Amino acid sequence: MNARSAAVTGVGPVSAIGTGREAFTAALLAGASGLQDVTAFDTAGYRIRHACQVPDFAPEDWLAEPASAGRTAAMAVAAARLALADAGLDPEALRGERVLIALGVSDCEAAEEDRLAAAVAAEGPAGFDPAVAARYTASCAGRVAAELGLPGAETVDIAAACAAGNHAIVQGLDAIRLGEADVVLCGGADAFGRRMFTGFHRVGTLAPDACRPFDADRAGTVPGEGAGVLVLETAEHATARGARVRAEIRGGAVNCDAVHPVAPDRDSVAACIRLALRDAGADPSGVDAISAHGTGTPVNDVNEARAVRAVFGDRPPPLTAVKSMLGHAMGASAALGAIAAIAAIETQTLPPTINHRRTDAECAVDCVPNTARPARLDLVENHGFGFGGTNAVVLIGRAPCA
Amino acid sequence: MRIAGRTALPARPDGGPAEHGPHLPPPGVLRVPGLDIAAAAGPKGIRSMDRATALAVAATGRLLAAAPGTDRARTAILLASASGSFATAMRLGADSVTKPRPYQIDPGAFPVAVMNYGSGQCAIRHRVTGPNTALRGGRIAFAQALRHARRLLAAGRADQVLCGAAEEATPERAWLEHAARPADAEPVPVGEGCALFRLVLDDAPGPRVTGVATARGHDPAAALTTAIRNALNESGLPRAAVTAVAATAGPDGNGPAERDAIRTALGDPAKLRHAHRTGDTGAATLGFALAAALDATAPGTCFALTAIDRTGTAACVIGRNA
Repeated sequence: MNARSAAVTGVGPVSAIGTGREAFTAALLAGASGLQDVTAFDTAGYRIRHACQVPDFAPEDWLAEPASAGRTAAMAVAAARLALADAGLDPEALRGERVLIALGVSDCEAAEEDRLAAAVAAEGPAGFDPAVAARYTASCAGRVAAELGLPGAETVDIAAACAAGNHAIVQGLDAIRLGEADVVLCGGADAFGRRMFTGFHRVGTLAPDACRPFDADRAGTVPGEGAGVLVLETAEHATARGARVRAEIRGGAVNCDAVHPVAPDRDSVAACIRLALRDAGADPSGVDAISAHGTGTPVNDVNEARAVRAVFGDRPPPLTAVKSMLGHAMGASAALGAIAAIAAIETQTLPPTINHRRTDAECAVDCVPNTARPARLDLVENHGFGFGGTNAVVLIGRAPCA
Repeated sequence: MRIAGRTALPARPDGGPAEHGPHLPPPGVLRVPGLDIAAAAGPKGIRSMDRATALAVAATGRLLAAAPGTDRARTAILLASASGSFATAMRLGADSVTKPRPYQIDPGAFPVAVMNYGSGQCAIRHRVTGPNTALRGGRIAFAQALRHARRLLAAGRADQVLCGAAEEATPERAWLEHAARPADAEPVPVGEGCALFRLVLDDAPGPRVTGVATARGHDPAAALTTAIRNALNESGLPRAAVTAVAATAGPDGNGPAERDAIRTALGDPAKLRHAHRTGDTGAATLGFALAAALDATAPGTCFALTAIDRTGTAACVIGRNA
């Protein structure tokens, strides 16, 4: 394994279509849809009333102190526990190790924010509930460290909107490369909330029926939620404990459009992809597939397709958009995209872009429409772009044969 | 990691007077007087801009102007805050509940409520295209940002990092802090401001951040003691070398624990009385503490900055003035 790579030894997805690596992978390859009616709040008066919430998530199943955590942190704890179990690591065994917990989020706890906003509407901010205020402002990565019993772990919440999960993976990769951590838990989390849903509704970027990335008739995205955590280790650390290496993070990059708060920029996205390829020591020709940002909004998908074309030429690798199944899980979305890429590499099968009818000629990409497809996958690129013009790209490679 | 430049807004915190009123919790708020968002951030696209972002955009401009010729594609921006523009989030959320239709919210405010709006605006208004993100983490977020900055520099992802924190003093944030603080905490008014530092990784003379550590636990004094010792180790310093300390944990009721930890881990260093002259600036508190330490200590002084988040995570930053 390349000295600049980090071994991925475990993954923990919590998503609208499945929780845990096996359920998530099976649902991905089956083309499952997480679309459902919103239950997080009363949708009376909205024109659109569906989203991709995580069904049946019970914090008390995963947390020793569920009352201390908002839903975002609770899903992050669940994802971290799943990832460690997948890696065959007992949190107890990590106490003597240098651990980094880096989690991407878009905001503070969304469900707690809804409670605070309801108090403002009802009686003004003097009516804030102290327990809600405490959960709202508490660190997500800090809660994970507390629940795992890792008081010495370095923790950080990276608020980089919809690219946040990839930001956290890049920071995890850097910590491994620089020898600053033995084990990294990185990824992202965000709970579904009223403000994000309402904002997308107001600006007209909610899909009226379904999220159909790269489709000629795409009309918007479907907000979602979830968490995704990856366990990264140095190759030596993974080998020494006989861990199974599922894939490796070969490289990544982050940059900023610095153009517009919400509209994406083709050249900056292309620049970020090139930086990531250079960081991974890879050529465009070596990339077998892309786990697309693929939100299903008219503007994002054509911008992403053009950026990909600028880097890869007229015959780019397939771009599969798992948001068609998962919805847009905000801070978790890039982490779940990375876990989907790892699942694709492990099964040598591309998950599909579901809800697809006809590909937009302006995008003109192979989005693996509707049905999973076997493919030789040695290197998969994972995209995450966000509000604020923040871009983050990660390159994930097939693990070397043991 | 060298501090190649710095700026703080407000530049000369005068400590008051705080604004009080029936719409505010008892300690009141301390706002930057006469803050003109159009002057701070430029006249365009500011209708929904929050105060913290305006301050951060102005601070970014000052630091870049003082470092002409630096490559903005190789410049990163890291901006910490406790909860971003919380007032904007509350306005959107409350409008959604109270308007005739739940989606009748201000579309211009939608991107402002996302936490990385501020760091994005700093980039947009000064064309800084390197790595860019916000960090959240309450009172210790600036320490986390310093560590993130060092990692970006060491990994070669940027040649310089504009690293800081910003908060705004609004009634909503004042009530949020009031609700989250323990009853016995120091009654500090909620303040606002931005402390921003230009950080590089080189051997040139100048003030430096030599160690950053965090630790958590049920006993905040023990956690901070651990964090201080780890930051000393990372700095390669004996405890006696640190002769000044700026403590910031009071507003969350952790003042006594902080004093205990400082005594245990550092003995009796001089106390820098920067403390909260700008009010409680949340995630920016530690940034203002760093600015105060650089202002108040003699060249060569090693100093410690301490913080304890209200969830029990403690942080220590050790630096050396020059």
